Amino acid sequence: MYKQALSDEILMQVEKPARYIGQEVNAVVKDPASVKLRFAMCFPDVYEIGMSHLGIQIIYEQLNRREDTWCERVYSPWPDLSSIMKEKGIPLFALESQDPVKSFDFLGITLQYELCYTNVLQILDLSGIPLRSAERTEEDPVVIGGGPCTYNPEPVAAFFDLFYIGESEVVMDRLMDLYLQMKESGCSRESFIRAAARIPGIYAPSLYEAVYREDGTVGEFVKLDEEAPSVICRQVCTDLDAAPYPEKPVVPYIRPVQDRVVLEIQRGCIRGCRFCQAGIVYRPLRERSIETLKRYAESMLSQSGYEEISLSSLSSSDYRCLPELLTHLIDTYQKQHVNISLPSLRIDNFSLDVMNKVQDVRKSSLTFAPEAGTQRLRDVINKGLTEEEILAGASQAFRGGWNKVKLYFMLGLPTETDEDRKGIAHLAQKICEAYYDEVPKEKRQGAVDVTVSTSFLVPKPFTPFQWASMSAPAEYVNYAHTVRDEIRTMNNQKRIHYKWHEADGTELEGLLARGDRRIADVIELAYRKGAVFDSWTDYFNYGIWKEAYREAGIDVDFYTKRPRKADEIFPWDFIDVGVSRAFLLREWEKAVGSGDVTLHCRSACSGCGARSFGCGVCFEERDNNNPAYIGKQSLGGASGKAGEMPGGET
Amino acid sequence: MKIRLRFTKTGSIRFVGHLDFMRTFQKAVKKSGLPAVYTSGFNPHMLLSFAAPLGVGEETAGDYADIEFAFRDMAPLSEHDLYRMKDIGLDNDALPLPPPVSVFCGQLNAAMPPGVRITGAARVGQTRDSKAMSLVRYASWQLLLKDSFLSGLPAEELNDMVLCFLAEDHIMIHKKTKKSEKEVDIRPMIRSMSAADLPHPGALSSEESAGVRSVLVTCSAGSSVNLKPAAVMDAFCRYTGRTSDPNGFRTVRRETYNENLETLLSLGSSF
Ligand code: SF4
Ligand code: SF4
Repeated sequence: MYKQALSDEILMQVEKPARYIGQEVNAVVKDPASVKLRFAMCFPDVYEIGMSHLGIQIIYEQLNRREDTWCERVYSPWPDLSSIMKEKGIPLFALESQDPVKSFDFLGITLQYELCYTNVLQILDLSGIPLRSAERTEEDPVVIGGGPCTYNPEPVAAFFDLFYIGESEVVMDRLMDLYLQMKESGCSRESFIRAAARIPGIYAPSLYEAVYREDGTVGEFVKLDEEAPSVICRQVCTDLDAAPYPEKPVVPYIRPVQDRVVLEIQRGCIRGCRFCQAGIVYRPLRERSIETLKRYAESMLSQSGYEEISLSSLSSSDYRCLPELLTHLIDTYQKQHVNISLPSLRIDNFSLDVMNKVQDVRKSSLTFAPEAGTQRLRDVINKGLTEEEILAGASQAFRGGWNKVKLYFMLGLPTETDEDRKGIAHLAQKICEAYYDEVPKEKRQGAVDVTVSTSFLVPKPFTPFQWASMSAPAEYVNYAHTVRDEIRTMNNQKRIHYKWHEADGTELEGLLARGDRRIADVIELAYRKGAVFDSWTDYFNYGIWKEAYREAGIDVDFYTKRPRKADEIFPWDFIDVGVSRAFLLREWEKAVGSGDVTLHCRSACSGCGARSFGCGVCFEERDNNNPAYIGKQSLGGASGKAGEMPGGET
Repeated sequence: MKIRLRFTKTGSIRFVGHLDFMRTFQKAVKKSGLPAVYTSGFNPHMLLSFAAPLGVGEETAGDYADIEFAFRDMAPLSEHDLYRMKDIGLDNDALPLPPPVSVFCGQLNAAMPPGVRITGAARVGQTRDSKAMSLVRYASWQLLLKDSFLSGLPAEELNDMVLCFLAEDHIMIHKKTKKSEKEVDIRPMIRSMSAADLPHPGALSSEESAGVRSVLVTCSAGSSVNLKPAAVMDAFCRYTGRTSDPNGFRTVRRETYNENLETLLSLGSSF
């Protein structure tokens, strides 16, 4: 009989009660008596966001394929519910069984962005699990973290028993097998953690200690257990076609951010933009075969009833069979009334043709992510998109009937000057001019509409910019004002809309991204003082964090603004992502030195180190007839979706 | 062919609001593989409409939805039918014949989320006034009382109270709309009301089929005059000198009716 963890009274009191009831189409329900291992997989944000995440669905599929395991989902309760839960002492529960998380064997938490860290603590807190790993007992589940933020797990290391560094497809089963074997023989939690640490890719923070120098930097990373590995190697799935995939996706009752079937066409990126962590930590680029993707599209659509399908990857135009795949999807599914939601595409005849077939031209917009306002700075960040390419792409699209353009830039890049910032306004103006030049008056469908968005660079571990220093929040605001003021002096300023991100969140993200173990105290203090849902502007309260900095005695500038020496030991250096530090340093020195660009993987291999995984683009046979091999760096984009960027990365 | 479905919605899915439920229903129809008809354009949607939306938390044992399917209509088609079909791009003679009702319902049920069951289906004509939504005039409700003063009363006593309540000439309630607040007499909107011990209409297992002290109300529903059962309970509780507790009962619609108090579907085994 179906249980309901929350009373009717509570469900009627909260916003969107369907977030908490489970029972969606394709949700996996097993008999608890028939399984040996219960896994709670958590995305520490609200249901609609968490349900849109593909990675969790892959793990859900992978673990539920095991007969001995039941994997369920957990999301952050919205603040209206979490305060009721706290007040009434209702423990956090998993959606499928509605059983308390605390009774599970594992609590897996995916860390997709740094600003979710207080939500992680809230998940633990509401579950009744001690926040710190050191305080947990045999009664508590093993808390394991995964996802992109684990490439520097140190700021949250104290809160996790284990981290999984890399792609879940590789050693997850081994970890579960080990757990079951040890559980059956009555081993303790601690001995499991020690044993787990010997599985490649598994990092058990309690087995290590960071020793700091007088100047505050890491001096040494000491093993407390002789048998623990000194270096944790990222696990890479070498054959995506053989990997599990959620062919029966769970279909939420309430509209998730991604209300559609998602096909992950490839993993990794060939481009190497120097600010981009995803471009490094998912190397090498690995494609799924078109046959597999066609099969997935069919099974996922027919088993879910979704009426839309989209492609997911960092840079879809680089998928070599893209034209064939899109043509197949359009030909097969448009007549079945399925929308094809396009990823950001480089603009050419093919993409414009496809866009015409699947979107209302008047409503959709072109998207470009030049990321920097001048060619000099675009070279520094290795974003090879040139002004000519953007203008040519925009002009071509304008002739085809489009009139909306979205441009994405970053501010606070290394070597950036006011000249570069003003360049953003100039580029927007040139795009307006291109519209009036290209489209004769009688053919114009209204005025051109250019939206410029800027965010601030947050240097991330395992990027060439991991050595870069940030600016102070007040300076960031000045940068944005420079852009805004320059736009106001443009002839077509009325046609250019400018949006920029808050600077406070950027500073916090910078601190959390490159922090060390000492940051854990700040995170806990901030949580205790009420910080939660920090990635939501409505809930973010930087005042709380500043108080926490003071109380914990943390100097934020040390982590954000301080220039780092070439040979500094970083808190995350014990992780080997497969891309060498020498390559990253070379890229950093090029960026701030000569400003030379580095070619992408299909133009020339730069020997980044990822070849050692033995798969993907590093071993592709060159095909000079495929446009994917034409030796230019450029990546323009067009998309019908708001806020989507080429590469989906900032 | 426009097909009217009769369905039930019980259990946790009662917490899914109307708009989300419509989307869920549409996905389930799509998943069933039955040939629903869509509008054209870049954002096609099914020709699907519900007779009477339910509020969050409310269940139903007798609701209706109309959906257009690309099946050949063997009944004589009216001028209006032909016009409508042409409008949505269908050529009746070229369409496949519909499956038997039982197969059709089975296919839908296999795709529906837990708690939703299609309990009947029938072809309906195309004329505009045959829209389920515009036919609805009344709904009958079962309000299953949870532990409260009312549920603690002996059945006859509760019934007597209901009878006295109904004997009033006027039952005034405060009605707040977006614009104004006014006094409304709801007595004319109540067709009947009684108390009984009845199982939940969606009860499947014998363990749940024990009777629950309930209040049964049949009252106005639909787009012109609509009375919420909670408002009746509220007035009734005040009448008995108690403050009403909106969480003191579980609300289940037992049936939806037209102006003649007939159900919206006469069930048959073929379309
Ligand atoms: S080894 Fe060469 S081809 Fe492979 S990912 Fe690195 S740079 Fe690209
Ligand atoms: S920004 Fe996009 S194109 Fe550049 S490396 Fe990252 S994912 Fe690739």
